[in-house]
Amino acid sequence: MAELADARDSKSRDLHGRVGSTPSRGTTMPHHWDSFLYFFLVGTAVFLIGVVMPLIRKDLHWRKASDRKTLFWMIGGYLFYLVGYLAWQYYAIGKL
Amino acid sequence: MTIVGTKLDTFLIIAYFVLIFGFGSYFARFTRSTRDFFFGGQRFSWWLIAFSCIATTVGSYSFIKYSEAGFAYGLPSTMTYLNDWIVMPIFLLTWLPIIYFSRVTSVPEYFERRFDTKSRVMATIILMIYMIGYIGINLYTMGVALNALMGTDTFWSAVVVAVVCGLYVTAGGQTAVIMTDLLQGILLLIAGITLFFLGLNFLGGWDAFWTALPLEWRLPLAKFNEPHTFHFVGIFWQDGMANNIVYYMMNQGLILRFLSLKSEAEAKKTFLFVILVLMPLGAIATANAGWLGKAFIETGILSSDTNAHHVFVKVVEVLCGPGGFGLMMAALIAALMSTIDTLINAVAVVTVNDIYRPYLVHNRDDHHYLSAARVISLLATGVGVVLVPLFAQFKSIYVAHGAFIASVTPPMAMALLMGALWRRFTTPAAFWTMLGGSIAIGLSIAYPVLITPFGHGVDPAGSFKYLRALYGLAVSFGIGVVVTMMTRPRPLEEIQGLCIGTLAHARERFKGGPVNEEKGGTITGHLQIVPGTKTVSLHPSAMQLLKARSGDLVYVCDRRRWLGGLRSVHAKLGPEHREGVHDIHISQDLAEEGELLASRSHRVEKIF
Repeated sequence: MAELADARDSKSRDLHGRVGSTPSRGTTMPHHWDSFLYFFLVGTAVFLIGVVMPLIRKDLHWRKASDRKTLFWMIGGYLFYLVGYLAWQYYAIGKL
Repeated sequence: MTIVGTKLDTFLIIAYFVLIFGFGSYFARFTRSTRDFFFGGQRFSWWLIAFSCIATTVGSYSFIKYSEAGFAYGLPSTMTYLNDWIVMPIFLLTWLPIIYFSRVTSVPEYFERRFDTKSRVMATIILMIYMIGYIGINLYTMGVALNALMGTDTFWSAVVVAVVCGLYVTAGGQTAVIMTDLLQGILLLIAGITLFFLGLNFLGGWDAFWTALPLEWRLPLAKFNEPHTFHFVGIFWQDGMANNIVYYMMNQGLILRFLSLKSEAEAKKTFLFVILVLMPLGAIATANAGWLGKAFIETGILSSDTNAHHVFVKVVEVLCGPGGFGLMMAALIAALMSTIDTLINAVAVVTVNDIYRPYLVHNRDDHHYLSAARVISLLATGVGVVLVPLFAQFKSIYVAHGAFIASVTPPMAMALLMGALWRRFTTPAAFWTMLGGSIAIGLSIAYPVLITPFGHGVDPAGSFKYLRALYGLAVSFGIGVVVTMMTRPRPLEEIQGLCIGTLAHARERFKGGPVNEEKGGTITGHLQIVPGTKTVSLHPSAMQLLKARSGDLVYVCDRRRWLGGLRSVHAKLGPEHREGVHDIHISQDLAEEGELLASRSHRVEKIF
């Protein structure tokens, strides 16, 4: 079925449904793993800056229960997204 | 194209407007001071604010915009909602304590206290242009949405919404905004997710939906640097970095929302709940119509020439019968109004606190400024309506708006970030970061080739719409560093509580004494009105349970948790009393301030 075949075409389309006419610059990694790595490498660096600076400046104290609780939740939240995205990625490519 | 609902749908939509207007206006009784009008009395519980935050986040175009992206590009349309974790620590550990304990009421005020008046003026101008323009944009896009859905006139649809929003915000201030946004936040999440389940059911279940989508539509992230209209690296820097900083640190509405919470601990809970629960739900609620639309095309339910702009309407048409359509339209209106009301209130805050009170009319009583805030709310709404025909002349309002926002916000965002995270960052550097950064961005609009070194291989044909944000942040950062090295910083004692490394003092100043962080429980009891002003006192055994001492800050609230803190008040604990163990002695003025009902049971907890 031509229509479905066209619809399944994985070429990028813009919001008007037009197939992109510009030459592909190509991703170097299949299944957008480069996006994933960039997201969690650069994103983690920014995340860590936000954690380490208050620790160094003593606005955050590892020994204080309330601060430990906040850190726990934040790191837990970070892991939630990391593991969640990884699982989603593998599920999408059929390896989960 | 338009689809027009049945009489039942029209009734539901009108009923919704009436409900929201009445609900919002009811809260005028809780608004007696500028503190109430701007901060809702600093009394609310985390869950109430969390849901109202999501309503503010899901804006006028969210359902339509993200459905478009979901249709054209698939599940990567969720990137915008699922990258907020990056700025979690910056917000929770640095910015939140700054604004809460230093009682910073607006971003311009922060700029004055951290830097100087010149920086405040520049920040005020930028922020006002941004917010008023944004009101106009929201009103216009809502008019467009209702025109597409119901055939109503674009301009007059915008006027109706403006009138409803403007009136209940004027009457009820921040409390009205919070309470109506709570209702609207729940509604739009329920409606959006209901649509998704209806769609899955229609297709024959999750597997049918999932296998109908092409592989790229199923992946969580977009392609790294193409196409130029939607690529990962651009959205990472434009939204994940710049927009998140703007949203969580500069969005006046959100600042006011967090300042209306009863404590810093509640603010942290709110933020974590938003990031970990509500944002993922919001991503599904707003974009799923696009994913469903794609699956409908793959399975022949919709024609393959379906346009992305209309996919939300098309999917609603397929899935919703009479009544269901009205519910979806109410959800769309909820998303629209919940953004506009926040903006209107925020404009009032900035105008009164950063222009009217400091520069125009000094030393008047709070009632005067409250009246001024109400007048300004109406005026802001009116200006927004006037801008609707202006924005209607642009061919693509989103491009114009996106370019404007990308030009204005990165320099201010970087100045704010550096001010909060770098004690050495100087006052001249803040000013030149904003001015120099804006000039550099302006040049990049005329000469997009300037952005090429930051291009990450993205096709320049799109003029680097997204990566302009990275360019703006980087150039602003560079200017900030260079000027800082050439100038002297303010003495540390002048910026206590306003940047990293000074926050311990902010807590003490907030309380007016040493902080008591010993963990205690809560007590319940009945109010006894006693003579005096600003007085709360407890029996010694109650104080022991709370681990509280005289002079500590406590929170007294109606025991009914579903009120979310609507009837509550903060107070400093006075000397103990020796009467009933469960008696909560409180002065008349505090009871009135907190709208507390003496006939009800109350809960007391120590803040610090």
